[in-house]
Amino acid sequence: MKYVRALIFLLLVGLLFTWVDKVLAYKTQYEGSIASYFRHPRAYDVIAVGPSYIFNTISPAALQARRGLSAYVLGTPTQPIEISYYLAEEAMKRSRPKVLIVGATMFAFSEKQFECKDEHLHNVFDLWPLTCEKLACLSAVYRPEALETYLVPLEKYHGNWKTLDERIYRIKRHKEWDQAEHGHHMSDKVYGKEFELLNITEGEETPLWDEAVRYLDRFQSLAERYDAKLLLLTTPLNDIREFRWARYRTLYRLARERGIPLLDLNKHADQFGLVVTEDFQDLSHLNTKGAHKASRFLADYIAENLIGSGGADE
Amino acid sequence: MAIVSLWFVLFCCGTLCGYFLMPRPVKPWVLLAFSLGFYGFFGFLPFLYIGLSALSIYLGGLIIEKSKTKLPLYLCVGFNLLLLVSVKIPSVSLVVPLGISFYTLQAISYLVDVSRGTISAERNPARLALYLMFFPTIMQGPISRYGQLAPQLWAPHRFDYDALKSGLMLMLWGFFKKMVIADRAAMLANGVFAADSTAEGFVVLLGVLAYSLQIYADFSGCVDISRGIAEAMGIDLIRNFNHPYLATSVKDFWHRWHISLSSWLKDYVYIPLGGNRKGAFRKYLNILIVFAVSGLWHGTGINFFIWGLLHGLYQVADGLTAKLRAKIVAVAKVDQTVLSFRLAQRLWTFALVAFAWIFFRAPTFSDACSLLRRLLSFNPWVLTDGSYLTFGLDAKDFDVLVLSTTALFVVSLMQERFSVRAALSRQALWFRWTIYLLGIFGTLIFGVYGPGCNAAQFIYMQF
Repeated sequence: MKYVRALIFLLLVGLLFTWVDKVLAYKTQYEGSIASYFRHPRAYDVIAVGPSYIFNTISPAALQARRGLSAYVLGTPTQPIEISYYLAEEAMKRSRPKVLIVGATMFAFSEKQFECKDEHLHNVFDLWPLTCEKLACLSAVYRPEALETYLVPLEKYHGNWKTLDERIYRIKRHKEWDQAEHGHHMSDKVYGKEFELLNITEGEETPLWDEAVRYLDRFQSLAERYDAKLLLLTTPLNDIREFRWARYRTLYRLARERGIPLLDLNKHADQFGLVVTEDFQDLSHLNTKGAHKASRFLADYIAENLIGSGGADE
Repeated sequence: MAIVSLWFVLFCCGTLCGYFLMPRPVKPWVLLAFSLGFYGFFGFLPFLYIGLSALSIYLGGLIIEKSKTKLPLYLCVGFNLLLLVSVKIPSVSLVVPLGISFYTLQAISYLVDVSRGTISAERNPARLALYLMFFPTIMQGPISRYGQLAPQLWAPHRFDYDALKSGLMLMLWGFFKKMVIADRAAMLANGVFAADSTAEGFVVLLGVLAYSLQIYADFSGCVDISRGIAEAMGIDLIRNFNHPYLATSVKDFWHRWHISLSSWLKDYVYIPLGGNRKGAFRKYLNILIVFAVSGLWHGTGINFFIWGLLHGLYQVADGLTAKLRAKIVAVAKVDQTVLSFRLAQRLWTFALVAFAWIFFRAPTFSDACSLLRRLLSFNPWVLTDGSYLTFGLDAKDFDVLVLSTTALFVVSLMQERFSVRAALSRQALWFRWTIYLLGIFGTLIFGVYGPGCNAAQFIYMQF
């Protein structure tokens, strides 16, 4: 009997621990969007992974409205390629999408620029349930000094008891996010200045870093394994750094060689009526108005080129 | 591997599982493997250092037993003391092995006991290695004697649910003391004792109180964790603390504080020097020598020496004035049995001990003198205008510190009268579980640990 009691006690400790862990974990808007996905996993037509360029550009609401495509965007600021891959792997398993959209910028940027800040890693890991994919992801972004805080966020956030009232409030806000933007981050900000969009033309190439090529292949195999279409997406942005153009060229060539569809929204900006002075919140990120324009175009592209006439609901 | 970390908890779980799942003859080897593994976490050089030292102690023990002179004993003890001194001097030291001071004292006690014929030299090197490197005691003691600990370590203990539960409770109490009390008190103490601190008067007083609390909760917390792990495996480690701040004299304090060190110093320094058998002068001189050695064991700085000497002087003064005080008490017809008398004794003893901690904690002797000068300022208003909250501890943390210290005080008073763990085990299920859950989640939520919390290393781990 005492062993049964001990077992019940351990169970009680586990349950309370999970609750306390969630109450005290620091919650950001980004974390809220990833957490919401895990709270209500379901089938989606489209899953998108990538950093802020992706979650500011793709509006699942617009995809749904335009072509009836259900979609979810899994992203956090400066999200590294390895995290995007494992989030995609987790999402493929849970949602079985027909299309997997991967942000192209992750491949074109250098390894160092995608060293994700600790706080952003927590956005991803804190409320991601303990699965094989999460463990694999943790080992891929291995930071021994902080590893245990990704497994047990309470270790990092237990000091939040000092502002507990606000935490509870934020838990309620999570519920609002659950129903809201499916990972898209809305912004009404308007940059308001004229600038040139990224325009990748023929020219010299610079090799991508080895890991990027490896992950490109892994994304392709992942999509094939789940019988989904992989789409590399370059979002509208003003990237004046020429050293990156050479990497974009390499990426575009590699995508062509592998038969991976690549959509550069910069080249189609006129088609979907993007107005630089109105539709950007800064030099690199669309605001909600711009995101809706881009997403409607994206929805058409997906429906016509990747999955036929429409989404699962049609 | 930090002791206050998830990894250490997992390591302990692994040790306990490994120990109980293995067949009986293998159990001591499992303990040895985990102890070596624990030491291995701290790098190869400390491991090599301890390995060489252990080899010298093993061979030394065998030679000392057969030798008719004391020369091998002196050589072996001298060699290990030299190793100890070499790691204590920063400019010379290449490596500071974990708990080296505790290790050395255990080693010396083994060698001297072999020389005295109290125990036989150990033929099995693994058995000696386990005694010297048993991972719960290598951190901060208690300094156990070979005759008391080694037979227990090598005996294959059966799984005992009650012992496991009791050990885990003790560990939890240790973690609570370290994480909730000691490291929170450290925030204030560090602010007040910092070299550039501007603390004066009552704030310094608060800082000294905070440090007195920190060092007790820190050290006794770690020993509770060590004793708890050992107890869960059925191994009984000696008690190292007996509520020292409830002592009624400095002599009584040393019977309650770091008991294993006091007892070691008595057996291996005080008595060989002649103890109290060679007249009053030699007795007091021996006391001063013992406490000076105790101070130097903690560190080579002059402040540690002064701390030790102060405790020696307290005891000398206590001995010299004993008759006079007894006369005063008799003439004034003071009732020594009343609570107020005992309370006054306890407060006076605490004040003396806390005063000595100033030298122990201050970075240098001149810092200690500066702090004492600033202590003389009279500024009671800092306690009400919130000035004391600008030295590292905010109001909420201060409240938690006060509450947890009250809990520590209440439990200490209860432990003076009965075993709290045994009494708790007899209570109704709902009450026990409430206390356990409060302990677990109180420590997890209010503990100072993890990134951004500046959790302090255990103080006595550096000695």
